[in-house]
Amino acid sequence: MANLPLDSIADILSRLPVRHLLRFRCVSKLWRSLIDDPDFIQLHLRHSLKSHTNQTLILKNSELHAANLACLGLFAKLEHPLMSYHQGIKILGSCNGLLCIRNIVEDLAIWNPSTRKHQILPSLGSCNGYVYVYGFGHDPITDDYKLVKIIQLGRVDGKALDSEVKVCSLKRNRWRRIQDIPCIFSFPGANGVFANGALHWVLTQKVQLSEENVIVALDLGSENYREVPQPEYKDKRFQLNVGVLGGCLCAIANYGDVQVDLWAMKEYGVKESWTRLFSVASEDVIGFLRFVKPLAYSRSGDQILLEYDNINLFWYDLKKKKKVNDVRVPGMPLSDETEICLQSLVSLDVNRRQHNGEDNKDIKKMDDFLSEGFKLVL
Amino acid sequence: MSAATAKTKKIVLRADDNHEFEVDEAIAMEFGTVRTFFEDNPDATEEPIPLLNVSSKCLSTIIEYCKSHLAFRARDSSSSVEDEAKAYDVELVKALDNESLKEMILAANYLNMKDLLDMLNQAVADRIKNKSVEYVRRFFGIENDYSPEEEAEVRAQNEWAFEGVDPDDD
Repeated sequence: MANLPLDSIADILSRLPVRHLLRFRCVSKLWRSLIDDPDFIQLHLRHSLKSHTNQTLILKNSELHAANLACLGLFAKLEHPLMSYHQGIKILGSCNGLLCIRNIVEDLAIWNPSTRKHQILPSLGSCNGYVYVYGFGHDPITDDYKLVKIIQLGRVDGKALDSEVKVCSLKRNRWRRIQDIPCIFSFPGANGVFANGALHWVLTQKVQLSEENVIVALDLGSENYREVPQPEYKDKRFQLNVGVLGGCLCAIANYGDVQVDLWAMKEYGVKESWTRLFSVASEDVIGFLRFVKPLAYSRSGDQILLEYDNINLFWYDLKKKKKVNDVRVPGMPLSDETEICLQSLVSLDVNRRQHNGEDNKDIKKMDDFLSEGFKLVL
Repeated sequence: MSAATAKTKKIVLRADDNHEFEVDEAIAMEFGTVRTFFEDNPDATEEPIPLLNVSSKCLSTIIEYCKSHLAFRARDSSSSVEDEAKAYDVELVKALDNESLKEMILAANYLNMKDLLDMLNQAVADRIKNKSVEYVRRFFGIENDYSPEEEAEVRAQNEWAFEGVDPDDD
């Protein structure tokens, strides 16, 4: 009987959906160690990202419904770990298969819907009367997941805004204040977008006598702010939003709801790498062309799934250069918010490197072999 | 091999049972290990190349795979040719039983043939995806080292993952 070496087995398993991998933990103790190993989890995650697979589309109304992007006919209800108080929950961010969610009373949790594990975060209490936004992403330096809350405290007329920025991480599990965003003039209108190790918001800054859109990035590793250069727009009369697609930061320029241009920053931080992927006109869609948000690439990479007006979805074909399909699936729940969540094995267990005695021999064997091929390259 | 007759250079590959296969150079260069060997020994084209860990059965299938894919690539890169190539791969894999599939993976790994290995690994993933834990143990020849209590505990950690699994009928 031909026996495959462990690295072949790891390659094969990295292609499987999470559900099957959780079942295959029962195959043997070595397989359980492999599937639970953080390096294998990264391998699996990288494979999903590269091949545009294992993507879940989540539709939210008062409940959450999920379907595999490759198979949009079957929506299943998702049970989330927070009390919903008949108000439903909000998704604050989605990163590497983890969702950060909050309910109406500001209970917070980081949750992996694929492994059905979650961690409750300490509550900051409700900030009555204050405006705030969140952002959720991954710090590659400490391999930690961070929730950021920006609270607008007030405005002194004519001058910059007074705000407070706080961070809570999965590992540290407590809130702490970090430096504020320097000199902002208007408050971000939406939760932050995570790409390339940083959270991004669109703000306005006073530039001489006018106000200009600025994309501000908060680097989750250094917790410093920087400005991200924008594309050379021909016409600047638009509303700007940011998004993320295939790991690249996107700028969505909405020209009075008549036309929307989607730009992607192919090489993060490099202004010249901004590429206009396509334009969509209002006559191409049914309803109003508002709040266009890119969601995901299709498996082939030729099509992009987009959401607009908060409830409508369509596919845009990059090769054919046009919108191809409205997503209208029988039985598809109406939603007021859409999110893409990867199916990953990413663990919420911050002590995951601890094993009990009898597994140590297998762990050593696997650590040795995995350290050759699969250590995450930062 | 005289210069006059060598219109297309031929290379001889020898399987582990000493059976020899003569192939065009272009085909031999699809084999990563062979290509590396010639880069290090550019003059050694006369002798048969011994492929110690590859059976005749695997080698002949792999040679056919290379011939077909070279022909596909020579045509063009249109999506219809891509579809034909994919259909070829599906047929090739369909004809392999579990044992042969594993042997092919070992051979593709030894021969350093990335695309073939990728395709075969994906084929195994598709084959085992919805199968039971027992099926997977039999497929890979793995012995269960859990005690019944331990296995029940691990299973209970993700009981929901056991729903809707294909019944074991093979």
